[in-house]
Amino acid sequence: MEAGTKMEGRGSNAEPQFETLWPLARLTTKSVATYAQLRDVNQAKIGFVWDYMFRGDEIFHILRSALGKQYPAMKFAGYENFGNIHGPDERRVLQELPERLRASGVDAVVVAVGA
Amino acid sequence: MVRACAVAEAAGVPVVAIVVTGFVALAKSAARAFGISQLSIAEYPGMIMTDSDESFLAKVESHIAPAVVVGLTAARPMPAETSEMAEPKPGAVVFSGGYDELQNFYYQRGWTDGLPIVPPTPSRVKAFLALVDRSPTEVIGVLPPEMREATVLSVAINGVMAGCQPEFFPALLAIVEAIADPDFRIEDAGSTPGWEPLVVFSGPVVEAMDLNSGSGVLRVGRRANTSIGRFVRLYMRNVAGLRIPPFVFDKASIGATFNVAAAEDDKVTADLGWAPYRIDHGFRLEDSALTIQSVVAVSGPIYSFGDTATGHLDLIAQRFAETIRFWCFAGLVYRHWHPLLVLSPAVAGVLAADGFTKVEIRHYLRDHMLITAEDLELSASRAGVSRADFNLNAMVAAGDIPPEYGLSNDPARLVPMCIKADWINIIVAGDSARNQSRVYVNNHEQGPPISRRIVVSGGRKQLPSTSNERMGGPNS
Repeated sequence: MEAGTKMEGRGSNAEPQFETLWPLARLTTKSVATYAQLRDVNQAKIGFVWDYMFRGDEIFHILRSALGKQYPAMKFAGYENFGNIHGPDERRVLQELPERLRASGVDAVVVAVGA
Repeated sequence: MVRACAVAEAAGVPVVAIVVTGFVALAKSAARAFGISQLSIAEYPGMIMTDSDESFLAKVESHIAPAVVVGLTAARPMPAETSEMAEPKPGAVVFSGGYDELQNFYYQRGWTDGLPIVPPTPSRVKAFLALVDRSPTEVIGVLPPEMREATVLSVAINGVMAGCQPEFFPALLAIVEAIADPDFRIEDAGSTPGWEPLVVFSGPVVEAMDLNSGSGVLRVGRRANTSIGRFVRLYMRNVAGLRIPPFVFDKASIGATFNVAAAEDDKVTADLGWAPYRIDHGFRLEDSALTIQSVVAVSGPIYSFGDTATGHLDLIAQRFAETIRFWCFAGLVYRHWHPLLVLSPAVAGVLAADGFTKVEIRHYLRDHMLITAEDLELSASRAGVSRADFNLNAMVAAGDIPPEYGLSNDPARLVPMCIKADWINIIVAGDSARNQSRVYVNNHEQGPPISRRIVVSGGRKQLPSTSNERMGGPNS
């Protein structure tokens, strides 16, 4: 009888008993977030980062208006500054994103659209 | 989208993600996998693509805007360090008991595909590992979205569970090497179109493993075709983490069941004087190779008739085009699109007799599968692609697609469904007694064809053969 299998019970009622292995594998997740704090929302510059799907451009337009009313000194950097995070150039866009965020001087970003 | 959040957070820039209700659980899980245990989310209630303009505006103003403010201004304490999730060690025995109990144990943990599994006992797994000169702990790659290590050992365990024979193990390893290739984008196998991988074998391996390349080539029934197809889906569940609800990473809106593995009819292909599929993908005639690609749609049976090549190709092009009409925009958006034509041996014979090579067939199909510019642009916007980002003339001006897509502003002008002829792949397989072909449509840059040679090791010169266990026939 193979390793990992044995019989339990007697005669025709004997049922094979198995010892079996875990089919998954080690997780490799590592924390990347810095959880930086937005210091002053009133003076903040907010970037919009988009996957060019699901009316995100319209969402940003409405959001810009709503946030601008609430925080008149708030500034914005449009999605055109960052590239399409879902298209054929996704990998390059994501690779360049930290530098583009820095260059645009944003303090925080709104990323859309998860759908 | 969540990957962009992780990039920004890693760069020290606070993020608020806008996510629709049905994708919040996925976003949170993906964020954890990318290393953000606390992603700030502004939830859009319901679904964007079926809301009226008025409802859309109201939801953004009343839900998204306040949630973004909360996300930007709320305190963001660094989460306490958490110890690694208590999981078994690779290779650990996790179950002892009877057959029924075992099936329930694995099913309840999401470790099966809903069908009974073959118990992965140490001895069964050992029989797989004995056929290759590779360490069980060797890491082939890390598979997103769950980000687990794809190890040689995990391939063997899941191969046993799927009902594979030990002799299939070199092929299973080649499959996992292919899906671990970043260009395959396994992380997108849970995207809403719900694509399924399709493995195509070419070369001596077809005979050695008793793969079916003839009638019913994509039906269950032959052990190698079926169990290898099952293995691919099972491995994607267990190691990539792509599971349907109650789990979160597989968001196929409807989806389809797994594809059994296909095999090219090597003899017919050689008799036609055509290069086999493995040579199309850069291998040698004597190699055994596999190619894996996504399949998001399948044509109906395409019956073409007559004794002229163009007679067949015109019909195939017509049916091909009907299948892909409202999805071909994706090829232009992503600059990737790789449909597979499974061509009837009998029809292939007519084409070859008329002097057509596979290259010429590709060009003929590409030139005869056309769509109006208006339909192409509409199909993109209906799928959620921004109209601003899918304007043919603008894409031509940007150099993203060939000039022939922007020859006028006439919305009724006809343009090719496929940018490049060599994106169309062709194998000869199926019933040689009928004139039926089919088309398998891939999901653009998600699951493009990735090929690997099947490597024989352990001092063997040939692939291990299942010749003693071939399926018999009605007279056996």
